[in-house]
Amino acid sequence: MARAKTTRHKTIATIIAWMVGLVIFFPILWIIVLSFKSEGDAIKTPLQVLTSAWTIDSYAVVQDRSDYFKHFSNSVIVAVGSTLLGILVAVPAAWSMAFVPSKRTRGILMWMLSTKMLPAVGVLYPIYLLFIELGILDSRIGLVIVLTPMAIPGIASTMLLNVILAWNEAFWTLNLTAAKAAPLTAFIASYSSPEGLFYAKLSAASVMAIAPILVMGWFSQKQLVRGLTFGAVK
Amino acid sequence: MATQHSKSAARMMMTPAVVLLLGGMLVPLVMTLYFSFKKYLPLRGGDLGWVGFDNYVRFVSSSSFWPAVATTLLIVGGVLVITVLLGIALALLLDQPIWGQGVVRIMVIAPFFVMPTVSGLVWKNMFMDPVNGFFAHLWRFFGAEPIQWLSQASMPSLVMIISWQWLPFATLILLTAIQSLDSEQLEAAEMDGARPFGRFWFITLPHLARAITVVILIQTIFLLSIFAEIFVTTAGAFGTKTLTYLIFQRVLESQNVGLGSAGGVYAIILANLVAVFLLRIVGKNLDA
Repeated sequence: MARAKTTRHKTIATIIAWMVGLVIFFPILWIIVLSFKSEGDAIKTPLQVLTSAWTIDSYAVVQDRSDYFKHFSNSVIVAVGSTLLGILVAVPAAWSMAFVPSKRTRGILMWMLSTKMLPAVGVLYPIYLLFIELGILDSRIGLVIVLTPMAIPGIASTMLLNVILAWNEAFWTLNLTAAKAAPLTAFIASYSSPEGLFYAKLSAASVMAIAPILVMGWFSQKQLVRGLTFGAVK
Repeated sequence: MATQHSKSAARMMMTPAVVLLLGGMLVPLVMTLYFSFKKYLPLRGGDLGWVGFDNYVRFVSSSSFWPAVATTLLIVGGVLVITVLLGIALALLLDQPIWGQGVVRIMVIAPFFVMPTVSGLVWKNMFMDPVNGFFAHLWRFFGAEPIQWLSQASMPSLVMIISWQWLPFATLILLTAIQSLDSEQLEAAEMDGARPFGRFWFITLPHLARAITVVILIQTIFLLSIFAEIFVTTAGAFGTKTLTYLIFQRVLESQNVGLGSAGGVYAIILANLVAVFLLRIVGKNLDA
């Protein structure tokens, strides 16, 4: 009797959980589907979309037209670069804070974490000006320089989180780049101007932009929780 | 245990990090402060001299200021309410015994890793577009007129998009907190005759209180500087200008650096107030 109740409980929970999960995941699922359709098919009603022909044309066109791989490599260089630099600087600091703690250690750590909360918009213009002066606007080095201090406190918690955040970072990457150093965030933003029917291409571009990070994120869930909450939740 | 020698070695090891952070923070901050006290219009005459607190007053008395504050509060508040309530529900659901739990978790967590720019564009075009969007097809299937999401219901649409992105974050953290709850308490309560809702309200919820607080504080800090979603969907139109977006416009679009910098200082003060609360909680945990 008790066993039956538990199995029935599990079945109901499973059904509800899967339904909820699919609803939440649906937008991502949908663009994966759309990315493999032709433009004409992509805008039809969902039923028609599902039954129309599959194609990888959209991916080819997107790569051709807006050079996905250049943007991809920019994203990689900027995200990994700033994280590596951050590690170089943060690991010694973290080591000393852990093994040779002093009275001020906690205060310093708190201050480091608080710098992450400085709203970027507050310092946009000075940085923008500085970059123009130094000739590093629209350069990967420039982005690495800006994103590295943001990476340092986080590295005290987790490295992977920073790669993800730098990858998805939009405020600096959109405002400080144009053509040469534009990472994937700008690549996608360039698809925001209206130019008619382009769902399939936008879907292909979107899938290509988010796929790497989706995979990385799935592998690092537990670390993510610790890192995101700065250890406040165990 | 720290000897004199290791103490100075430790201090040396901390120096690069501290210097970098200090430099990266102080220099731009000082420059922003500097600009905020000047009238500086790069496109219309350049540096026009000191104006004291003029920019600060002008920023707050501009007709877009209070609407921007209201918009910011609405978006942050709306997303917080949705993500915390749904987050608790989802966390409870995911805590149950389920077949294929790993897959469900992955599906639920996925939206958090989607770039805000991608998220904004996908929702704007593939789902909310009144002609070809998924919702439009759905509405028409049931015989109704499709809604013009981003132009007629821009705030709810934005809140929806941003909530979708942040729900996984809240869920993950709350789920972790739930799973750290000692099941013995719950079992004892069940044996004493407590009903499911009672068990939730008196045992689970208080235990979650700290996690909920952390979620609210961290999300508030990040949500205050939301940028990309607004940038690619409405560009601030239809009353979706948050404080952050307003400052961005003042600085980069209308090129009034003095005014924008003053706004930036306001934003920094605001963020710091929230941060103080968060750090107090985190600090408490570090001791424990």
